[in-house]
Amino acid sequence: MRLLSHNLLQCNVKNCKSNNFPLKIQVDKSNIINCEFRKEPLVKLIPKLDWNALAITVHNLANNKEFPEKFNPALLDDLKFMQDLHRILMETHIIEGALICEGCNKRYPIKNGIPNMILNDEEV
Amino acid sequence: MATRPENICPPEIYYNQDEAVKYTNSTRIIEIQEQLTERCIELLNIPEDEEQLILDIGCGSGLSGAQLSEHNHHWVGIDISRDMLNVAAERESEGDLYEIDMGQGFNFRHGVFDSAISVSALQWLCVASKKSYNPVARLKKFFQSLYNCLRAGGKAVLQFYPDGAQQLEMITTAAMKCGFGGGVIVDYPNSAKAKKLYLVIQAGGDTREQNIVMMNGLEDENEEEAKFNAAQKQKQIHKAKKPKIKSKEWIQNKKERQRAQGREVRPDSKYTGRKRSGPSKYLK
Repeated sequence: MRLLSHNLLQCNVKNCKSNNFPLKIQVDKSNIINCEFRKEPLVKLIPKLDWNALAITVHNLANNKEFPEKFNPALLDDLKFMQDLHRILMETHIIEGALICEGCNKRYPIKNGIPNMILNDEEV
Repeated sequence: MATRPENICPPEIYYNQDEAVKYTNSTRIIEIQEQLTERCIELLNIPEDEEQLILDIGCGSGLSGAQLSEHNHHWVGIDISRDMLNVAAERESEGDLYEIDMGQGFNFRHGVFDSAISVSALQWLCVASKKSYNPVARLKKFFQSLYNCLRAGGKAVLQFYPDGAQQLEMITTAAMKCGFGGGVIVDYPNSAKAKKLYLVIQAGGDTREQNIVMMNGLEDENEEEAKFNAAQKQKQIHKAKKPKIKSKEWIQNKKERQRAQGREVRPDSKYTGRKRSGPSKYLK
C-alpha cells in the first residue's frame, strides 16, 4: 500500500462517520520501490489529495516537521520538494502493519502490502 | 452448459491458490482478460494523453491493472480473494491493492476516482453464497459506493456475465436506482460464446451529452466469431450425413444396432426398406 491510496481511504464501518479519516498507520515493515519520477502526472494528482491528511500522516510516520501543513502553489516549482513528494506518495510502500481508525478503533491488518478491509457482518 | 463458478462457492474460496496460479500461467485466460480490459478502456472513451486515477473492481491477479498501467493510468485495485491479490503483489503490479468485499461497499473519499472498470466480477454479487447475503442489498451497497467515489461525470465500464435476463435486470435496476445513467453494450450478440456484456454507466454530470448511446457493440466477424461459425457449420455437415428417417439406410442401421444388442431381428432381404407401392399411387 502506498500513501497515495491511503490518502483516498476512509474507515468503512457502519455509522463510523466522525474522525474516520485519515486512518492511522502502524508500520511494522516498509519498503522503498523506486519508480520513474514524472512531474506532470504528479501535479495532476495533487488536487485529488487531502493535503491536511497527508501532512498529518507524514508528520506521524517520519517525524518530519518540514513537510508543509498547507499546500502552496509555489511548491510546484520546487524540484527538490516534488521529488520528495514523489518518494512519499509513489515509492514508499507499507508492507506489514495495520490501519487503525481513530473514530471507532477498527483495526485493518496489512499483510504482504495488502490491507484487509473486509468487515464483519455486524459492521456492514 | 458448464456450471457457473458463482454457484459453487464464494469468490474468496473459489479463487484459491490453484485458481490464482491459472490466472498467471494460462495464456488463454490472460489473453481473454487483456482483450476484455482493452475493450473496457476503449468504452471509457478517455481523451488521448489524459492520465486518470482508475478504480479496478475485482482486480484479481492484476491482469487488467497491467493494461491500465500500459496506458499510463494510475489505478487502485480491490478484490476479495487474498490468493489472487498475493499473485498480483508478486507480479509487482503498479497499482495499490486492497482486500475488499465489493458487496460491503468501499469507503474511498467522495469523488476521487476519474473512472472505474471491472472485468468479469459483477455477476458474483448476484448470488447469495452465504446465508447472510442479500444480493439486492449488496448490489445497492456496491453501486452506492461506486457512485460516491467517482467524480461527477465519472464513467464506469463493468464487463460481466449475467446468468439470464433476470440477473441482468437486477444489476441494471440497482445501478439506475443509485443515480447512474447509461446502458448495456453487447458485443457479438449472435454468438453464445463470444457474446460479452458491458454495463457502461456515468455518475451524474451532463447526461445530455451521452456518447454512450451512440456507441455500438461490436458485430464484425473477428477471428473468434469466425471460429464459432466454423464450428457450427461443422455440426450442420455432421447432421446432414445422417440418413433420413425410415429410409432404407436408416432401417438397415437400426437393425444392425439391434443385432449388436443381441435382440432377435429379421434377416435382411431384398424387401428390406423397400418403398411400398401403396394405394397412394392410384389415389393421385
